[in-house]
Amino acid sequence: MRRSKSFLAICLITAISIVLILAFLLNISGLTTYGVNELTGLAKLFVLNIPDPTKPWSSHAFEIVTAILWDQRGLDTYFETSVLFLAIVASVALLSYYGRRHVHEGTGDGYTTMIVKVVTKLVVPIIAVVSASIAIHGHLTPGGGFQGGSVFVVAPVLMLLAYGSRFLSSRGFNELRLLAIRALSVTLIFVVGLLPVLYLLTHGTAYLFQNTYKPDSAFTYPYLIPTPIGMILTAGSIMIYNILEFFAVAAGFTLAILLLTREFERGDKK
Amino acid sequence: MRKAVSIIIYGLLMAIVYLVYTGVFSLVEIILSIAIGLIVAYIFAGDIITYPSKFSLSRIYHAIAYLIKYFTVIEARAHWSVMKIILSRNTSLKPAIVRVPFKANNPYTIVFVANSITNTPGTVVVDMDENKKAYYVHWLTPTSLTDDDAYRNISLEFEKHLTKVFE
Repeated sequence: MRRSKSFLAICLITAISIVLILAFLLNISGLTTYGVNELTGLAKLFVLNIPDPTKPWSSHAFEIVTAILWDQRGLDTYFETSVLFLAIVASVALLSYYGRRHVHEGTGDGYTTMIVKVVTKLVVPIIAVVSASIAIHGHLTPGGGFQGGSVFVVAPVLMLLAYGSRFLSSRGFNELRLLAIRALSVTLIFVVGLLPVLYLLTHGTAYLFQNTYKPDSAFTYPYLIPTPIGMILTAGSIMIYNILEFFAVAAGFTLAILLLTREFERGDKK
Repeated sequence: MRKAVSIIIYGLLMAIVYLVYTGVFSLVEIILSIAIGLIVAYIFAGDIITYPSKFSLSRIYHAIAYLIKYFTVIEARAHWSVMKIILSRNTSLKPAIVRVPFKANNPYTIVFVANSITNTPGTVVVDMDENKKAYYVHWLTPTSLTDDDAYRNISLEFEKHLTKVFE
């Protein structure tokens, strides 16, 4: 008993001294404070220009990551969305039963109790509301269309686990509609990015996926809208992209998970 | 009519969730939250609002009274008894899984009673049988193993209050 206590004390003292020595070394070598106070070139450009409305290259958005994704690198993000769209199309091609007669759809009765079902029912609308908030405020706080859509998809996953795939299809979430929402959203994102090009043809300089005005281009999406109830900061096209991306991601992932759940419920029956 | 009132109240509750999550209380945000709350409430109302005709203010009063009583008196009492077990030197505990019957019919009553049992320290609902109308509860300090005694000791108080709210 005595021996084990002294052993414990030695262990504790060794551990604490190792931590203290490491902290001391880190502090002396200057590794702990490296680069906190100074920004490198590209970071300085982004951090100082994007949120500042007085600068000519501003995006009028406070969330710099989302602004870079949709404004500075808008074309890149569009193709990322397209890649995801193709992945969804591929999963539909592999797993879809659209048009076939005998689609096995489970009800989840075998493996969930009433407690799981009722709690799921109560939690799902809260997830929907929170995901909408994440998507709408994507240009102001960390978040955005993809993040909001991904959070929303938790709701269909819970419903599929608790109630089975029949519940979701009976509420109108069938494959064709989800794919249509997905395709429409991706198309609209491209149309919003293409509008500056139409301006280019008729008026003057503009760039593909341009958001607000630039020093050599007058084209701009409205980024600060005055209304009787107050100013609404939309950060130009970033808010539109975020909302469209929210629907695209939510519909696409719901579709993929719906098809996978159906496959899982079918089991080994052919 | 009652259905519409229920949807509006549910939509306003969802609007409060939205506002609390967002953390901004400007006029624009409040209008947006009510719009989104009503849309979400309209979509999910069919599954969540089961008996719109049963809506009344006395049920809300009973719900709030139960919430206050649950989180102050009942929780404190349960925590105190479990704390005494944890801190005592007597480790001769004999936990058991007992069957606790319930009389409620509304799914909300059944689920909220089950969650009340689970949330109080010392008792956990491990399974339930909807056809036999019984929970299976893991009980840290069982005083008796018969159904009636378990019902009286574990779920009578919860069911008495929640029946007034949901049934």
